[in-house]
Amino acid sequence: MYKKRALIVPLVLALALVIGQPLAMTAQEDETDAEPIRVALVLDNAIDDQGWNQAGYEGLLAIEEQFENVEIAFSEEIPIPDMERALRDYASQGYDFIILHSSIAKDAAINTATDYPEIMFLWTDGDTTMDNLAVIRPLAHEASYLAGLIAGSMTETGIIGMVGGIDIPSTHRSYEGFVMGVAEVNADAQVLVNWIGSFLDVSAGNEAAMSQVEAGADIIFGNGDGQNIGVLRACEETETLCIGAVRDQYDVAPSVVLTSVGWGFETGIPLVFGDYLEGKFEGQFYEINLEEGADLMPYHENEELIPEEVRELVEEKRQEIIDGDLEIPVIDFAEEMEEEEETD
Amino acid sequence: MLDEILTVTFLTGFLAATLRIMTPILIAALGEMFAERAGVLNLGIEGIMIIGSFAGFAGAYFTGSLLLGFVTGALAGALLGLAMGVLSIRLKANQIVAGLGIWILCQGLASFLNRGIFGVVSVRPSVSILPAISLPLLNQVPLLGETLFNQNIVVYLTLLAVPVFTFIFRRTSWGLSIDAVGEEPHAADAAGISVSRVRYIAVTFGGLMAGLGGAYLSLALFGLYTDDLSTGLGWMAIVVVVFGKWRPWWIVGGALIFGAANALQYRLQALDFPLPYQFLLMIPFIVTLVIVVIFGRGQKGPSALAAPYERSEL
Repeated sequence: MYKKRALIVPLVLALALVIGQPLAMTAQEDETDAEPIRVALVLDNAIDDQGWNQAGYEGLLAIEEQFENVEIAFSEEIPIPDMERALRDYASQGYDFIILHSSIAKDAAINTATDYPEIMFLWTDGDTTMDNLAVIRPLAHEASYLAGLIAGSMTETGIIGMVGGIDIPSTHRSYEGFVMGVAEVNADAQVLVNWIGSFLDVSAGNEAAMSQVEAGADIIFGNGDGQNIGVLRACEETETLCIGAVRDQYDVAPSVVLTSVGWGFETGIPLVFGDYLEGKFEGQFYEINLEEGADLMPYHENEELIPEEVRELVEEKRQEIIDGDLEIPVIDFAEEMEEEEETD
Repeated sequence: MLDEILTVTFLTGFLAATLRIMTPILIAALGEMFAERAGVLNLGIEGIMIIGSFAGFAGAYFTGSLLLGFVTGALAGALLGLAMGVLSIRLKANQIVAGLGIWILCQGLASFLNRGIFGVVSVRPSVSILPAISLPLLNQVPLLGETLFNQNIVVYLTLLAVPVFTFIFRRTSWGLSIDAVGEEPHAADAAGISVSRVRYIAVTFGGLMAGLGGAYLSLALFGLYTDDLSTGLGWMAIVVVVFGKWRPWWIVGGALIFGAANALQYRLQALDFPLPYQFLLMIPFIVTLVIVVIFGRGQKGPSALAAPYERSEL
């Protein structure tokens, strides 16, 4: 009897591990005779997180929609240490084009791309390219600058908040662009800065935004990923206007989200895939700019909350950036460090 | 900077944030205290909180009642506490492994159920959150009143539970039985107390409280569920129990210190405190660590903690 019991424990634990595994991948096939091109996407959180991961998933869906004879698959909620395994799974199954949607899974990207030189890899918001590894680099600092113009013009208290995830080059770039936009229209405005050190922690995003509201901030820029849900919920709760990021986050808190700073993955991912189909794919940085989708997202129902002259100013500056008359400097955290080293 | 800190708005905001952050930890820690004092170390409570936040949200979403939501979250938690009981009491599994197993199971299970029930959504379903209740007269107390006595019902009930739990352990045979099976299960057994029954009740109650703590996140703080609502609060609760020497008021103190350090950290950052943000983020954990080291020295938990009870060993 005792032995039987001893067996049950590992069984239950094994069951726990099986159910605990990330959600299963799915594959959808097109019904044509030609061998389909197989595209896979690996993400570290749920495809419907209303932020970073959903943007990547929408990019994958756009590939399926825009191109013929494509078979898509994805694995979501893959922890960073497991990313390489997930990538290798797809590579060994013979997928042709594999997308890694995680800035920080650098080793996974490089190791897998090295071992499978015939497969093309796309790494979103990465920092290294190889012959078969391209990187999408969103130039969201431009849209962030436009968002800064809105925040700077509309603040009544003169205090604006920025809640960021982890201070990495892409989020830092956005932050600098935002501050520049604010300063241009409102030199006296103060920007409160909170980095919460996580791209997931909803509670931390919520608390940081709450602390900024108490400190008098009347517009908050949620510059991040999953934790933005917490930031925007705090704004809804306290009736504070806010600006989302990565994709159109109006739906998270429709009463207070003025606009969002898009990062253009929904458009950038199919753009690179199109290059691949045409044989133009190169292991290079694909910079996604305002016109290519890293743009200010629609105002939706809150358009009327933004004064008309502010909207006109934004439209004007946007056009200047597109025409090349106005350049928003890219200030990455890394570059700033280098500069410091040089001055030392 | 000091004059920015010493303002009424800063202090009331700081107090409110402290309460917000500490409440879910406190609820789970008080439950874990019962389980541990009965001799069961349940490391699965982080997972149980995740399930509690999901079950609580689903319950409230489908019934339209926050009360039923909290009931669902608590029941789901109790069920998982019972599962931990079966593993550790009946099957005599290693409690550390069993607890970690529960944690892993719950993480996946919550994602799985969320996707299964709500599907892939473009707009996340939400419920309106638990309203604050302002206590008349008490809310007139200067400085503290506006924050302390303008909380939701769960905060009041949790604080009310602390003296009740103290009373249970000090003055009732129930509390004595729990301590007996946690300290000297053989003696308790000889005295006619059913060791496994008491442990089952304690660990199930611990699960119920963790489920409530989780439901607090989705129903009182956010009004929605995502997979990352509890990022480590359950682990913090386990630390708080040790810090709190397995005693209710000390546990309140532990949760309070962690909550306050966290609330302060966010505010210092926003005030442009001249330290790198990574360092400020560490403050709550450093403070907790230092305090555990200072106060936790020579500290002994229940003697039979994490040891399965074997009558035949006698």
